[in-house]
Amino acid sequence: MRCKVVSEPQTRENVMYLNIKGMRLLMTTLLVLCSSGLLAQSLVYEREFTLIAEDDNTLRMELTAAGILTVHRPAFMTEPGRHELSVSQAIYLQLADQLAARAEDSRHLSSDIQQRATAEMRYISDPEISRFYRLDEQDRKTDSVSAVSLEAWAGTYPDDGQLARLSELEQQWYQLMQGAMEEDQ
Amino acid sequence: MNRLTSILAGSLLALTSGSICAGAFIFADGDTANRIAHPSSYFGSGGEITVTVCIAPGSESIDDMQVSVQNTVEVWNSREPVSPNLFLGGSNNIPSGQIDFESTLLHEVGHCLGLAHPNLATESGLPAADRDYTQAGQGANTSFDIDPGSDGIKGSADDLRGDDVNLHWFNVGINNPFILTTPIDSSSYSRNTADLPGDDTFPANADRTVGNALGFSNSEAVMQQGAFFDEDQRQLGVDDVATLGLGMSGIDQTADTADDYIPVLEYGGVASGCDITIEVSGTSFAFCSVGGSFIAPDHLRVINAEVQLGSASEIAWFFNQTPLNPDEVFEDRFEL
Repeated sequence: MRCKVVSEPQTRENVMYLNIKGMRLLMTTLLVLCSSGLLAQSLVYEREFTLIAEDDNTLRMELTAAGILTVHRPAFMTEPGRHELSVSQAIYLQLADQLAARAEDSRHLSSDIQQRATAEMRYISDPEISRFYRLDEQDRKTDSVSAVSLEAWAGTYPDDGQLARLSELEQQWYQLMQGAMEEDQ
Repeated sequence: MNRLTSILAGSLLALTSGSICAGAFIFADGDTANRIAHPSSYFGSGGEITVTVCIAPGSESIDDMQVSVQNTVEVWNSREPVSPNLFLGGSNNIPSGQIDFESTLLHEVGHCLGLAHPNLATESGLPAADRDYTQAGQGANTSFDIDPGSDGIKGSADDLRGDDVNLHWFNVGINNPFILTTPIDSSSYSRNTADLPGDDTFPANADRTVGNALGFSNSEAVMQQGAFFDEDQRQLGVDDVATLGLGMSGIDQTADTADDYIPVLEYGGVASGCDITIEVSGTSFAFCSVGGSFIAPDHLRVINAEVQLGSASEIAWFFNQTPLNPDEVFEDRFEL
């Protein structure tokens, strides 16, 4: 189990710096994460740039519950390759909460956009696909949300709350990525 | 028989807009296959129509893109088909690993003039390997029927497409998108598969693999979707010129009549309020966003056209600095 990360013994030196209250909080958090399988989970954001005909056309970010962010920037992007960053677990929990909420309120997003675009005769070329999901401890996708040309449609329909909220989630992933790239520099 | 009927298409297609799913003209789909989209300044009266093209004042990379914007304006104005029009590797000035901004812009401006992908492309929801089939609607069975036929080439004239509704305008009795047929109007270009040559089963599109098979190497329609590294496609193919030309035959779709028009793209520098506005910003790779307004049954004009290409901090763009017409570029730069 990936939970072994939690059970790794702390060094005496490290432990000495933790007060009793802090230790209790830490242990409680880790126990909750471990018992719920959260540490084995991760959140994933992908963006497929379908206009690029090369095989490597997808930006991918994965944030583990332990707070490790890995980013793959495809070769057509600036600073291509793998980037990594450690972040606080609070960020994981915050993004996980938002993903769960977006999975709930974005269920009709695509059909809603489709209907509105048809009625208003709007066209956006060269669709891109944004995907947000959680991988559970058995690498199964849950809380999955997909959107086509999210940035473009959010710009076209700024009054659409569903689009705005999902777009905001996408922007948060980009901010995290920015941190990882700065870390690498 | 190697018949592949995609049932996966529906799931992703559901994520796209019905009106987003376009044919050789944007706003056409399986239910509205005869729609033809025209540039924004066309209201049904013939003659020259001016289409102003500007760089958005808030855009990034303004200085870097000036030459490419003016080259793009000139290429669409010339409407001169070139074969070959794909220059790869050492035969262009693009460093390896970079994407040519100008080639991408030429494609997006084509959308803003009303043209769609001749191939099924990503809006079909099909996997990448199947996006080179000719543009069509799904037909009554609500899924794409895709089989490359005996030649094994997707998008060629022997494809077996079941009940798919063809959206690609082809030259009557010829079905070769690398040959220009005149007059360019509905007497010589058709969407009706009954007008195909005897043995052909579906319209061929101007994909590079199809071009090779037909004897036109390194040739492809600019409007064919798909960008590669280190690829210069800054000149139009025959199919681009033919499709734009069909629109230019006006609402009656007959050449040499009063409603024919000639689109004249005019570079307006850095300004807002133009017919086509170009902006470099954001995290998308490239798209054209437009609205449509009917001017006659099955005929629309584009409105509010905006091209957005991703920020140079995100995309490894190559900005060409070689002007097609040095005198004009110098003059415009001087004015700036």
